[in-house]
Amino acid sequence: MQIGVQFTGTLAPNQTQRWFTYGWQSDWDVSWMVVPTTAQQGSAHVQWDVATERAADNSITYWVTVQNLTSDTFDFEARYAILNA
Amino acid sequence: MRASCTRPNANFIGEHTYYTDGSGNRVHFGWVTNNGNLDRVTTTFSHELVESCTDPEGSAILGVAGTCSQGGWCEIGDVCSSASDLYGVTVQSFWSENDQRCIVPDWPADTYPYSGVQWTDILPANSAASWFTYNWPEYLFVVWEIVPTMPGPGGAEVTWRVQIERASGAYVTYWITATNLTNQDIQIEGRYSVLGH
Repeated sequence: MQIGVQFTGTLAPNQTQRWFTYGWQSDWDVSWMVVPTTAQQGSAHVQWDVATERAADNSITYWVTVQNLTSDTFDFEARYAILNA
Repeated sequence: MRASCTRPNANFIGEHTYYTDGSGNRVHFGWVTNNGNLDRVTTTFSHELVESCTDPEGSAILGVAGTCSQGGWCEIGDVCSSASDLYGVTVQSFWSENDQRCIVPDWPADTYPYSGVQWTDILPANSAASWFTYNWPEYLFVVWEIVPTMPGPGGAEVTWRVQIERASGAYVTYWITATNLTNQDIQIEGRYSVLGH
């Protein structure tokens, strides 16, 4: 198992934005998670979707779409876990 | 601290602070004295390090006025004095607002991954429902899964979505919304897997 932070970002109120990250080994099983780093109590802040692109025989590109569910700007970090590394 | 350096105050054995360079950049730094006792050096260093992280410029996380006996910045290391051995290194405790005491934290001795069932419930036919579960340490990588507990062959029965609330600096709340794709009530369980940190 290998866990880390791939990128950080900021989302404006109710904004949705997509990021991509490339060059991931095609035989890796990767899980993604987006965690706000700005604390704000009361409701869910963020949701995310992940799409994959088979960029080459041995390479995957992940497209991570992050949505701010709140009316406030917040910072976040996108974390990955390579389950079979 | 090198022998050629002098302390701004002879009573100080360590300090963290900052200055602004010629380009307007804030430069954060710290120093500790060396009296030849390694435990005292690491105790002082850990004190300054944790304060530099939580209050680099004397304007962030500060103690309530009057809780420090000293002058100057009153920070999370200043209100504590005990020291503990952490993997063979002596470090000073610091104040934890969550714990309401002085602590020397350590990563939990968890073995990853581990998993379990967080809740069970009935999901009515053709409907969606949301649950939240709180006080999960923010540093954990947790994945969620909703699984029907009774056989229902013939097609997909349930989908789910996970959302996160950063409830505090230390904890997150998970909000899980599940949708029943069938025309029958189904019993479900919400499973978690903690992959690591």
